[in-house]
Amino acid sequence: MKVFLKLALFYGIINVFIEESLFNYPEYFPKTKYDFSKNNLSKTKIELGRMLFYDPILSIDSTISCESCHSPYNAFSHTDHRLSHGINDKIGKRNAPPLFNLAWKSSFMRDGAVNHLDMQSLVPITDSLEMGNSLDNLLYKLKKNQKYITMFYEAFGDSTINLDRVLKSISQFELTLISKNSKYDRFRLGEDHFSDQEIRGYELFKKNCSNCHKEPMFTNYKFENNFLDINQVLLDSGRFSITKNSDDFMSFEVPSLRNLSYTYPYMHDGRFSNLFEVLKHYSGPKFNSVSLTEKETIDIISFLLTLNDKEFILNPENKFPVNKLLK
Amino acid sequence: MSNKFEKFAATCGFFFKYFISFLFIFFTYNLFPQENIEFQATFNNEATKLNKNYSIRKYHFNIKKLKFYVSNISYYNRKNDEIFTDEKVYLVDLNNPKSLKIKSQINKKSQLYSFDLGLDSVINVSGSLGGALDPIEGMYWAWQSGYINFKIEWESNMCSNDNNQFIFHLGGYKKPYYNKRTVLVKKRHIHRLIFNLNKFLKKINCDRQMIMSPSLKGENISNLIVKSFEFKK
Ligand code: HEC
Ligand code: HEC
Repeated sequence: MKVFLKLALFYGIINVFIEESLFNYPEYFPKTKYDFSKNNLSKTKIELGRMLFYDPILSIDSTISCESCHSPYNAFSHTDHRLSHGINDKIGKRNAPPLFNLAWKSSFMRDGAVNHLDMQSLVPITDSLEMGNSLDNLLYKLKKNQKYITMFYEAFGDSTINLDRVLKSISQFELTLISKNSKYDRFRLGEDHFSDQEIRGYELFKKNCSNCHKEPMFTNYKFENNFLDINQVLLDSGRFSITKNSDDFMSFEVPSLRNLSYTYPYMHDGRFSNLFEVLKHYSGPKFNSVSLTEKETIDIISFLLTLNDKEFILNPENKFPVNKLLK
Repeated sequence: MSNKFEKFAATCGFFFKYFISFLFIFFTYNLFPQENIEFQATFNNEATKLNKNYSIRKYHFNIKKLKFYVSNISYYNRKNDEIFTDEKVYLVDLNNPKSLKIKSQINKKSQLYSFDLGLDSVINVSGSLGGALDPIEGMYWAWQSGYINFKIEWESNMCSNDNNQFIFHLGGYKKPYYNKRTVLVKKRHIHRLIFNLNKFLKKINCDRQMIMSPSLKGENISNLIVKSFEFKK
């Protein structure tokens, strides 16, 4: 009995240790929102999720993977395209957002249409403009694939392939995409310092922007109206389309401002192709509260660039699983 | 000689054990008989089949799909005046005869009290749950998270237009469209829960033949569904 207890304790400690090493973040980050108790992280499940993320097998004609619109080199967004492209080059309705620090979010998509990370993948998989697949066909394709039979076995202890497991594994991989090694983060930890220009930019940012783009995640996770004119082609009214509440007209989820150098173009429809255009919008007549001189604009941009996380972009653990997927 | 006797005794003992277990099962079964609840849909008082033509006067009806979630089945225990609830979620599908029967807690002491059509908000925001709640069942709205509580699709010439299709996918877990409905039974000896399609279809008008998201019209249809349930022994 005692031996058993000791073993159990040992196993527990090891497990906590493993989990911590799979998911850790700086002390100044807020608490996560994702309920890990319902989807315990494990190395094999994360690896399986990574495979699924990069594998075009998820789309109806095996041409499009999640990566097609969420590239690791763009902090998992889709650079150079205002709107996303799906199967048969169909154009989507919005600019693909970057994917990182997802464990801190409790709603997804620019209008918050999706309420849980696990359920998010259902949208691109079944959307006729994205991967155009059916859930039955997805499972059929995976069940025929020896590689997946083995990986599901390794991850779950038996080779049952069902949707629940697919969704949770993709979540596991996405949850491990944590951006926390920018210059700003090193500054917070006292490991680096800001230039005078960056400090001026930081002060201006705190005054003008951090209400919505709140540190250290650079979003307050709310839906806000930043006074963009409605896109006359897409007629995307943002949060309003979900709540039908007139207060929400043209409100969009406040995006994080980490990794901006990798995620252009900006806003839900990709209307601004660089940060000067963005800042011009914020100092324009619409956005009354802010009036920025050219010098101040440059100062703010220099601060925004401290939020780039090169380590995250280059992290090999986030990238295409070459040895597995091409084998 | 003694050897044979021992064998005989052993065989008797063997059967005796079975006999005792049999008696035990028999009596407990009778003391606490577990009875099923059965869902039915009826058309002109007969059990409805999918893809079969029914008619009411000059109109014909053909039910294509009837599928809904049942949760929080509650029982009233007369003896200690208590209500207790089955936490399980059931997906009732006319296309799957097995799903129509649900093992109940009805017995001499307790009777059916109520059940919910649809799912509460906690389930709706809990991510992937598997089983009856697996989105593979076609009862989940991916593009705007949330479960479809009640799905009914049929064809009919009941409206004077070219469109014979009716598709009602009812759901919603947030105000103002909190779509889950509680159906009160509160009668003794009820086992059969009957969705009376005559009652339901009589009240359908032609202003909207398609509902695919939480809406006021959907809420009204759900109220009508509750009123169309009947209870039988
Ligand atoms: C055709 C391009 C395309 C494909 C393929 C695609 N996505 Fe997306 N993704 C988008 C767009 C566009 C959005 C924003 C949608 C919106 O706001 O309505 C998005 C949003 C997301 C979000 C929400 C992020 C947030 O912060 O709210 C996640 C998570 C995500 N995608 C993951 C995935 C996964 C996992 C896959 C593969 C199963 C995938 N995507 C495939 C284009 C794509
Ligand atoms: C009222 C809240 C609010 C304030 C204040 C605000 N923003 Fe924003 N910001 C938003 C919202 C909402 C979006 C997303 C709009 C969209 O998706 O179309 C956004 C988007 C952005 C983007 C584009 C990010 C991307 O990935 O597309 C940048 C860059 C940005 N803001 C910078 C700033 C700066 C710099 C300031 C201060 C000068 C500022 N914001 C002040 C709400 C705000």
